Amino acid sequence: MSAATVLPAGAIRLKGATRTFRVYHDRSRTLKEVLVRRKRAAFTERYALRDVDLSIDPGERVAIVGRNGSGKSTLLKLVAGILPPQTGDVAVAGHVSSMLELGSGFHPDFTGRENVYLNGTIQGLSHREIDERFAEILAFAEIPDYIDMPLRTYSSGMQLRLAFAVAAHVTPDIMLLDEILAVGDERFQRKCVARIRDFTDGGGTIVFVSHDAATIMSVCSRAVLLDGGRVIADGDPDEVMPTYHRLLAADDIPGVAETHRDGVAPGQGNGSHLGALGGWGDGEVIIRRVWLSGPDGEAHEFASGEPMQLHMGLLTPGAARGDIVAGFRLHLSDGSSLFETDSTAGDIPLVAESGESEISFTIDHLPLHEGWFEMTVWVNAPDGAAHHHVRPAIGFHVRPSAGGGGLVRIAGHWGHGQVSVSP
Amino acid sequence: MTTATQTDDLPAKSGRWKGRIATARPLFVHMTERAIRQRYKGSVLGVLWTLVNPLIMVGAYWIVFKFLFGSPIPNYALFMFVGMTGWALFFGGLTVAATSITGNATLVTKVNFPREIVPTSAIAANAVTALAMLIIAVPLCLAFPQGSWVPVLLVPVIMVLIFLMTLGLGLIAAGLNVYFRDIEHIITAIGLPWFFLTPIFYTFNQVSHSVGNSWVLDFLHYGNPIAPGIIAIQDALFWGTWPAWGDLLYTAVAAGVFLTCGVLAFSRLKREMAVEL
Repeated sequence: MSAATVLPAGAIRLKGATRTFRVYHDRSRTLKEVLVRRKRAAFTERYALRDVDLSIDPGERVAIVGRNGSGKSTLLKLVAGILPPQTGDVAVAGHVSSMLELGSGFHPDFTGRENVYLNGTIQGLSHREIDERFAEILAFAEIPDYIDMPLRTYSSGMQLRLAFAVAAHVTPDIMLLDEILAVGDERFQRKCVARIRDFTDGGGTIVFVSHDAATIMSVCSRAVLLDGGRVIADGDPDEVMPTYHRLLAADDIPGVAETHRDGVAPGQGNGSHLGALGGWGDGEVIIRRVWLSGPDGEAHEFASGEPMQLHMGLLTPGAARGDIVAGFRLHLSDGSSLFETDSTAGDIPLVAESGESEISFTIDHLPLHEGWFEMTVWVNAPDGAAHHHVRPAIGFHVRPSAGGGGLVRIAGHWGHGQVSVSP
Repeated sequence: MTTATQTDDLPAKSGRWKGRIATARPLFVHMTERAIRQRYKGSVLGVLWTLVNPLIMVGAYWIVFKFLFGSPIPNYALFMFVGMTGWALFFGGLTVAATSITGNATLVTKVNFPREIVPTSAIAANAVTALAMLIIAVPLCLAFPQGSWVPVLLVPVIMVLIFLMTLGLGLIAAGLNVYFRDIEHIITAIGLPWFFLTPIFYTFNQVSHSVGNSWVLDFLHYGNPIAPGIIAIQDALFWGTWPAWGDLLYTAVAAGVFLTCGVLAFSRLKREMAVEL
């Protein structure tokens, strides 16, 4: 840990930081075993972080995103100084306050008041400093009735209030948060976000792990995407988040297709005969490619209310199949369905010519507001026999084009008038 | 904010140490308070409650060794109680230290702070029991004197030396127990034989006639790091005589050696603690 240059307080520099974990095949390791056994305990070396270079400057609001097990929490622990890197350098300048888990640094049997002192001293404050800030902490946490009750009587939201209130009043140079804001109610989350902004405006640095795209987009000035312990994207959240979502979607394709193969006659293989998209079906008509286009051509990101077109490139290996039924289902990444339709609802029947052809579905005004959405597509015979199903075939990101919140966009307008009061 | 910096550009090493101690002190106070409150439920009655166990033991040993075996030691129960004060400070501290880090795993894996505080505050909280025993023992020894009262003044010094020795061993036990979880069980297992081999309910002088070889007694005396300290307490407090220089010197050197080893070992062991927990 020799920093060549003096870092300004609030700066974080990781250079080639690598951290591995030994996963022991049988958990309990005792002195007895070490003495008795000749063979060393079997373990697998796992990379939690691999050669990570990261430079964060004072005042940045950085989100760390990635799938479970991608190394996010390890990264925070390295920055917090809880874990040392095995190779590489971690240099952190200034005072760090961390909230890596709800309730860590708290004691369930102590009252809220005592816990403020306990946690404050853990975060490096003196007793007098906490005395001075106690009123502010109390005001921020807004749990006056509970402050003299034992912590175990608190809900997780109340614990978060107290923990965040303390962390925010430690006046650190760097704040580390691991996915805990989510338990707060919306109003308190807004308050936290406001506090975070004040904090970073004053030159403080914040690094937090979150899965909540909306929070990241609204809070963070930068997002770092980890995968398999490496940084695979780093930059504006608007650019990094769609990459993250594509990563999540890519994860689903083989696994989900596998589980949805039931009902298909055996011997139809693992989907490799169906081309690059995988999926399942008899393969008499194959979906070669699925893509989305907006006003400017092919896209993965759309503004709410924009026109959008779903395209499917088809291949019919044998003779022309005649009529086909194409359909799609719009859903969230967890599979919950938003809308489903197929071409029997349309005006013109679809026909699969021999060789390659293309079909499309046009949405005039995208009725979605914000978030990551996915589409499952299929082509069936008119009698319902499955030619090719791909789930999910494609994902896309929608950014809001106007105020409001939520997943879907509902067009409408406000009106007003007088209410006639009957006597 | 002047405390708890991780910067590498701090001026001097001494300044760095001062900064660390300044950060650690309030936390140490709080952790100790927390341990005391957990253990004694925050009341005088709670402290008294922890004395019940040593008193029951004294009662049982009194029946066996005074009543059945007819030990020649006067005020036998008080003699035992004095020895057990030193033992409670030492072995009680070692036991709580061993489980201190593993018992605070959530803190150690989620928050960065000087890890030494955890076993240190556990041992300090345990010392309250020994202190309470001492508060009972001192007036009783003065009321039933076997010699002069002046050597009693040395008791705090001996207790501090035993405390430091406990701290050194406790740091090693706490650190090792993270990597080998059976350390705490091993310590519990050796507790009773160790207690018997320590001159708490007998004196080496009293048994010397039945042991032919004096080197066995010398081995029991100086091979057991806590024995000279306990003998010194018995001398100063119960017998009212000045402890032997050898016992005092031995205890002081042992305290220094164990503390140094403990601090060095712990600073090595603490690095990967968060991974192992």
